[in-house]
This record gives sequence, C-alpha cells and structure tokens, in this order.
Amino acid sequence: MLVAAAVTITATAAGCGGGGSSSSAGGPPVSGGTLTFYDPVQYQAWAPTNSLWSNSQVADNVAERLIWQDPQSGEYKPWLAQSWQISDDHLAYTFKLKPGITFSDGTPLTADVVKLNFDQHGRGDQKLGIPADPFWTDYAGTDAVDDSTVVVRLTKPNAGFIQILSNYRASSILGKTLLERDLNGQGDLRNWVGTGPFVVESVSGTNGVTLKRREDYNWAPDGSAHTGKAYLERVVFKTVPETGTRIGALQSGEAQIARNIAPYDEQTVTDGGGQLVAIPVKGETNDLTIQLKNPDSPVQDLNVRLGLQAATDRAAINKAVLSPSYPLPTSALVAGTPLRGDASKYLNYDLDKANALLDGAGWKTGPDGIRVKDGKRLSFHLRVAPYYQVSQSVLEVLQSQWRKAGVEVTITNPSLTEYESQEATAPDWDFDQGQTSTDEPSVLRTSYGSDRQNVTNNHIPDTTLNDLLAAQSAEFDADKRKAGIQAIEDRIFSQGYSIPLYDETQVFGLAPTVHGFTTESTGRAWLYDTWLSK
Amino acid sequence: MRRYILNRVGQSALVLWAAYTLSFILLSALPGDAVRNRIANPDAQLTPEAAQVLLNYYGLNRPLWEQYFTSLGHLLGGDLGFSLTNGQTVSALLADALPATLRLAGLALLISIALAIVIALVANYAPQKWTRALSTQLPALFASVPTFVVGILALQFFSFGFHLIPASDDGSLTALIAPAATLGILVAAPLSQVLITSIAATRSQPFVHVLAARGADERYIFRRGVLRNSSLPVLTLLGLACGELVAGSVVTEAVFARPGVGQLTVGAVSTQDLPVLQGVVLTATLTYVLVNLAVDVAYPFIDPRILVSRGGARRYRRPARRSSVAAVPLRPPVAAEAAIP
Repeated sequence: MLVAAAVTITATAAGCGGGGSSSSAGGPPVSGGTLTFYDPVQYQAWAPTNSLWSNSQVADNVAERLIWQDPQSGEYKPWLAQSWQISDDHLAYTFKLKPGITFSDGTPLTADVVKLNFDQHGRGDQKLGIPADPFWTDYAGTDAVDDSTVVVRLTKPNAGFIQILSNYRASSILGKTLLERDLNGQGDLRNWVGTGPFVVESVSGTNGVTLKRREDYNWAPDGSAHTGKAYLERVVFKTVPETGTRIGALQSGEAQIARNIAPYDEQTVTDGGGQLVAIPVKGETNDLTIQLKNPDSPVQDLNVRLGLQAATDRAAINKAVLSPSYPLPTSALVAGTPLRGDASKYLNYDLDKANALLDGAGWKTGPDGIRVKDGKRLSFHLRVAPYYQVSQSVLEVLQSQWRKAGVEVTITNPSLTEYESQEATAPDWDFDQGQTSTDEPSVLRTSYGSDRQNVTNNHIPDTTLNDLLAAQSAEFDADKRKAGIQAIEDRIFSQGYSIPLYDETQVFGLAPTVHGFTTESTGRAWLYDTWLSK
Repeated sequence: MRRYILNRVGQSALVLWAAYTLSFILLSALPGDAVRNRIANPDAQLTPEAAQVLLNYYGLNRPLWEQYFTSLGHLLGGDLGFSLTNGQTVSALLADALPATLRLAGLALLISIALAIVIALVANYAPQKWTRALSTQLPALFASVPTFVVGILALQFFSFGFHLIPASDDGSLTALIAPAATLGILVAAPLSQVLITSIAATRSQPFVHVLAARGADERYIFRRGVLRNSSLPVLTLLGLACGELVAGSVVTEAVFARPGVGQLTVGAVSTQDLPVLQGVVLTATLTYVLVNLAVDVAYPFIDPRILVSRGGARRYRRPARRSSVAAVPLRPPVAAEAAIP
C-alpha cells in the first residue's frame, strides 16, 4: 500500500540503485558478530509496500522475491523460484518454486501463499483496509497450478513487469498469518513472517529494530558470494537523526554502517578511516520537472524551457555543492539503468544560447538585469524539496546560474506539510523537484504517462509522448525497446519537460571492519554476504 | 484539606479535557493529515479508489465533529487509538517511549536540583567575592547555551574523544549520564537563579538577624531558618520545570539518539500523526497537572501559613514535628543556643 518512498522529513532520495561495494580484502569471511546500522529516519508502518528509506533497509533482509535482479547487470536470476517461463503473448508468467523453502514460522512456501500475496498487491483488500498496489496495473489474477507452480496473468503485455516481480516493495513474499491481518496488523513488524536470511528479534517503537540470523536459511539468490546462513549473527538498526552522532559513532566503532552521508561530510568519513559507498539510485535522474498546469505561466513557452535548460550548468553544481558520488546526468535515467538513452546533446551549458532563446521568446533584459515582458518580470519561485538533503544547496547554485541569464529565482523552504499543500494548489508551482526510482526504463512511463503520474501536470496531453511510452511497454526485443526509450528521451528533452540536476545517489559510510556490503537493485541494504573482521 | 485536594483534582480534569480539545482543533486546522500526505505524495501513485480505501480505514472520511466525539468517547474508555503512520496503538507507542523519557527526565531533575543548590550556596556563602559573583552569573550562562550545543560538545569529548560513554542509548546507566546532565543544565538555570535570590532575600529577614544576634552560626541559621523559607519559590518553579524537561527532552533525545517521548513527538509532528500527537499532549498535560498538584499539596507542609492566608476555615494540623521557621525566634534562646555545636 501507501507510503511512498521519499515521503519523510529528512529522507533523501528515493530509489534504486545498485550495488555492491566495499573492500574485498580482509581475509576469509568471518561468521558471527553484531552489525549496528544507524539511519537518520524513523521507522514507520511496516506495510509490505512501504518504500520509506529507513524501513526498506530492514525489510529487504526479512522478505524475499521469486526472482533476483542483479544490482550490477540488471539481469534476473532465480531466487525463491528456481525457474520461470513467459508465454509468447507476454500475458502469463509461470514460476516453479524451489523446494524446501520455509517461512520463519515454519510453514512451507507454497503456490497458494504466493497467490495470496499477489492478489493483495493486484486487487487490494477493502475489508482489511489494504489498497491496490499501483505497481500492479493490468493484473488479471494468479493461479496456483500445484503446490510448487504459480501462474501470474496480465490483461496487457508489460515489458517492465518482470522487474516488478523482483521489486522488494511490489513483490516480496510474506507468510499467510501476516497477510490475514489488516493494514495496522501488517504495519507491525513483529507480525512479519518472511523467508529471508534474518528474522525480527525485537522492535523498539519507531526507533529501532534488531534482526537475528536464521540458522536454517539456505536459498540465497543465484550469484551470492556464499551459500547457507548469513555471516552476521545480529543486525541492530537504529534511528540516529543527528548527523554528527552518526559519523562520530562510525569512528568510535559504535556503529558499523551509517546511511545518508551528506556531500560535505564525505571527507570526514574517509579521514576517519571509514569507507564511503555511493550507490546509484537507478531510475529517473533528480530533476526539475516543468509544470504545465498553469496556462499563464512563462514556462508554457518552449523557448523559455529550452533557455532555462541551456542556462543550467550541472558541472558547476556538482563542483560547488555535491561530490563525485553524484554523477552528472546525461539522460533522463540514472547511469546503469538498463536500456538508458543518451540525452547529453540536450544538456550542455550554453549561456549565449540561453540568452538568445529567452530574447527570442520576447523576454527583454530590464533595468535591473532581470528580463521583462509586457511589464512582467521573468521570476520563478522554487521550493526546497524536503525529500532530498541536497535540495537547498543545489537550488541556491541554480539561482545564481539563472540570474546570469536574467532570470530571477526566489527560494523558500516550506515544511513537508506546507510543501505538499502548495504542490497541490499554488499557481506559481512551475518546477517540481523529484525522481522516481525503479531499475527499469518503464519508470518513464510511470512518471510521464498521462494515465499514470503525469509529472508535468499538463492540461493538454502530449499524445506523441504517450504513444511512445505505451509502445516501449509492448516491445520485448531489447534493441527495439532501447530505440523506443531513446525516442522518449528525445521527446522529453526537445520539449524541455525536464531539467536534470544530478544522478540520484545513496551514500553509506562504513567502518573499516565491514566487508561484502551490498544492496539490492534499488539501494536497499542486502546484508546476506556482509561480514565483520575483528 | 480534602476540599482543597478535590478542587485541585477537578481543575486538573478540566485542564486535561481543554488540552485535548484545543490540540484537536489546532491540529485539524492545519492543512492535510498523515494519511492525506501519503496519498498526495506523487511517489504513492494511488488511484482515487485506493486512496478512499485508506481514508475509510482510518475513519478520516467522516465529518470532523464526528471524529472528535468518537475519539473523545474512546479516550474515556482508555483507548487512545492507532497511529496513522505506524500501525501500532498509541498506548503501545507511549508505553514504549515513556519509561526511557522518565528515566532521562528524572535523573536530569536530580542533577538540576543538585546543581542549583551548589550554585546558590556558593553564590551566597562563598568567602571570596569573585567566587560569589561568578556563581551568580552561571544561571544566565546555562540558560543561554542551547541544549543541542551542550549535547554535541558532550558527545564530542566524552563519547568520540575519550570513549567514556556510548554515543547512543545502549540501555546502560552510563549512557544516561551525559544526556541527563545536558538536560539538567538547562533546567538548573531557572532553579538556581531563583534559589540564589530567595536565599538572599530570606537572609535579609529580621528573624535571621535575631538568630544571628542570639549567637547562632551560619550553618545553624541555614539549616533551621533559611532553607525552608527560601525553598517555596523553588518548589513552584519545579512544577514549571517539568514542562521544560519535556521540551528539552525532544532535543536531547534527538542529539543522543535515545528513543523516547521526544523522538516520538518529532516523528509525529513531521508526519502530522494526529492520534499520536494527541496522546503526547495528553501525557504531557497529565504529567504537568500531576506534578503541580503534588506541589500544591506540598506547600502547606512547608509553610502552614498558606492554608491560613487562603482563608481556609479549617486550620490544617501539621504533623507533630518541630515548629516552623516563623516560630523560631519565639522559642527560648536557650533551646537555640543549646543546639549550637
């Protein structure tokens, strides 16, 4: 159900990314020990679809999916399912479950339980207060053919569906006793019954969770560094909102992993002997999406949009307030996202071009250097997005860059609540900072499709873009689909819908004793292969 | 005395109800709520039907007055409702958070009282003038350095520097000392300020001069005369200090990463989790009311004149202890002198 990712306060980015990390040296892996993981964000309801950063770092280690998306290559590998087949019309996905898998309450993993999970995602459950999962569009149903064979059926082909089946927030398989509970019951982690390498030992309110290793675990995804049970005996997750405390604790050895290291703190971590792990959050780049709902806004003029794009110097933003952990965007998608296009030709900084475009749009430089047209100043209001910790500093650099092109920017910093209510109603909401993360190019359809999020909020639908978005979903040939994604990116940037700022990134600080730290494909910790040296 | 207490209890119930109602009105007047914020978030991508399922589940589709009376009815039955973001009952969340905060606030209170007494004694009785002057300035310093600064400095030196204390709560008493001292310093500021002044004021009263004239030394005068007389204003302030302890614990718990009511509040405020906030408001009000009730009831034990001056028809019979300070000068000088060591 609900609770989208970035929804919190301090939270940074949402998303996905990939990857493994951390030193390979340190000798043979050591089994045992307790790893302490500090997170800045409090834990909220533990609904299986909760993608809040703090929650998902924990949940990913408790519940598993039928298939595993390799965070590096983006390929799909067997996990709870030992094999699968997709029908020729791409409407039926048949899975053969691995034998001998049990939930943490001892019950076996069966086709019936899988069906129960998918039905709850696809249809929701009104009686239990569980809404349908927006990821599961065009769901026709699931059949349990026999104890170990499941068929998932769709009403329309969807090239992005296989990723959804591997996605922690869309397809984690949980035990029957949890699924029979209502929304609040599912939101209590102590009720969780999963198949993961760790089980919940204790929950301390909204501030902490302790996981302990499951001794009989033996079904790690293909491609893991070892088999059998996890190395770590215990993992302690804890909310530590104060940045200084998180970093200090890494240095003093009190914590071994700290999530969400700000760009200006990165050096403190490495100077203190720690490791810095930057995981690309795959999916869309973090951008300013142009809002086209107000017909009187200057951004309705294509030349204004392209002019602002040309006035944006991403390299300077990166140098001033970010770090090498945040790659420069060269596409609508973060580097590493499969089938990603190349939009670098649209993203060059060119102040002369910006000035020419804005002049051409009829905005002439006024007495104080700010452009004027029909007595109106070219002035925009940007809000610091509460979901991204680098938002304010990035927008401030942008403010000075656009000023050089005669564009005035005021920045305000509303609270989360004010931000959300202004987003819905303010007429001067011309730019929306954001990104949606999923390790699959179909994320562009999720965002830009008029029948989906429609991130530009345009009052006149862009049918060309809609057709392109729908076409790639039905295209199963990788090369043709890649061309389709490129066509979408060309459309987005030639229409100036998006001004990318930086590639979304999740930065972890690790103590020198941590080895084999990995995340699943969207930047959520997967601690199965992680171990601590003495 | 009984009517006095019954009155107080009645007033307390009224205060609780008012706090509950006022917070409900104020929080409902804010745009949005925890569930609508989640629905409005673009990442949630919920269809209108799915959003309706959520609103129905949490009862947020009903008119406001109905929500108010339902929750008030549940409250009278002892049910504080469910958190909108956490899926746990508010009582469970509070039960989880309260003990930690009580430990923190309790130790902080002890530390602040001890600090206040030491500072006030030094400020009034130290032989050197500069020590007295310095001590008099301390409360101002304590009050003006923000809690988070004290907290971060304490962490930097004692935790990350000397590894004396853990940086975040590990359940041990050692982990409690630094945050409690941080919070205690904040609360010690007004306590010591008032105690300094009130000791000075008491010492200038005629009965003190009389005692001194009869040969009592400073220690005797302090123990038998000054202490009790100058503690009344401090007692009043202690009642108020519990408000400061609650407010201070928000910051202290964040800096020291201690689970507790403070952190619960921060989370609930930022997500607009109304039932949790209501629970926190009620708990804080209840504590406040109880502490002040205790203070009110304690007054007459320290100063029996209170009941008399309030026009109470009945004179409260004090326990058969030695007479009050006011009576000291009336006692035969021999008794006083005999007690001088």
